[in-house]
Amino acid sequence: MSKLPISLPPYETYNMIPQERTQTFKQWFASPINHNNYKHGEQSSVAHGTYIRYFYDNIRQILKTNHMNIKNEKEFRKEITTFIYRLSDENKECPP
Amino acid sequence: MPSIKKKYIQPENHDDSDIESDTEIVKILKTKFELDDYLKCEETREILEEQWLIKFYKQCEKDLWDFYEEEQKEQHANSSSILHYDKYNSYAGHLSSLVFEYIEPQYDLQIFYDYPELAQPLIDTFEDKARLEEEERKRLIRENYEKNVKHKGKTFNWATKSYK
Repeated sequence: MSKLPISLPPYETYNMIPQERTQTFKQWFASPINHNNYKHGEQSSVAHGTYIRYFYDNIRQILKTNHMNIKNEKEFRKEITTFIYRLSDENKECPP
Repeated sequence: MPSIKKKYIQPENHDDSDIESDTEIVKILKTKFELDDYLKCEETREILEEQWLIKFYKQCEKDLWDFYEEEQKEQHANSSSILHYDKYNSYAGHLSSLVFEYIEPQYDLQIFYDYPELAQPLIDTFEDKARLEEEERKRLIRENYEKNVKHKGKTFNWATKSYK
């Protein structure tokens, strides 16, 4: 994988029909996470991209703790990003 | 060159000399072969790769699964757009194999020193190579002799002490 895609369909998962993408990857990355905050009824201010960074840092920390080194960090980050992206939905409240 | 193979192949009724022989083999394995040699030989490479996979799973797969599971549960509980398509935590294995692909392998040769019989295919390859090299050396000597020797094709007459 050399470049992140403009848009990719979600993984086809059991018992779920994936919704067609309406946003580009870039738009999705910058958009806030759709998050039901029942207590405050507010829209999340955390972007999908911020979550990916958090997720990636955690994976890296797990590997560091176990004394393992990443071979190609740039490619690895892209793969993790694609993995999260393809498992995630768009925030419908944020039109493209 | 003494044959490693002959030394290595043990009779069925093992005795104390087996331990001695094993130590000798381990010494040969340590001095004659490097990691690259083990990786070039298909059988030993497979063992190393399998051991590395086991080490990875033992060492950090659980941490990866726990982290992913926790994230998936939290996102699912909040009906989040993140990990929306993984309702049943079915992608932890996918993540784990993705991570495995991008980790520098840590091959450990210790298994061959503990169980030298596992390195037998490598030893065989080494012996075959040594035999081929020896054959090639002899062939070159023969060829060189044929080319350069003065009395080629002549027989030595002992009565006259000359070549005919």
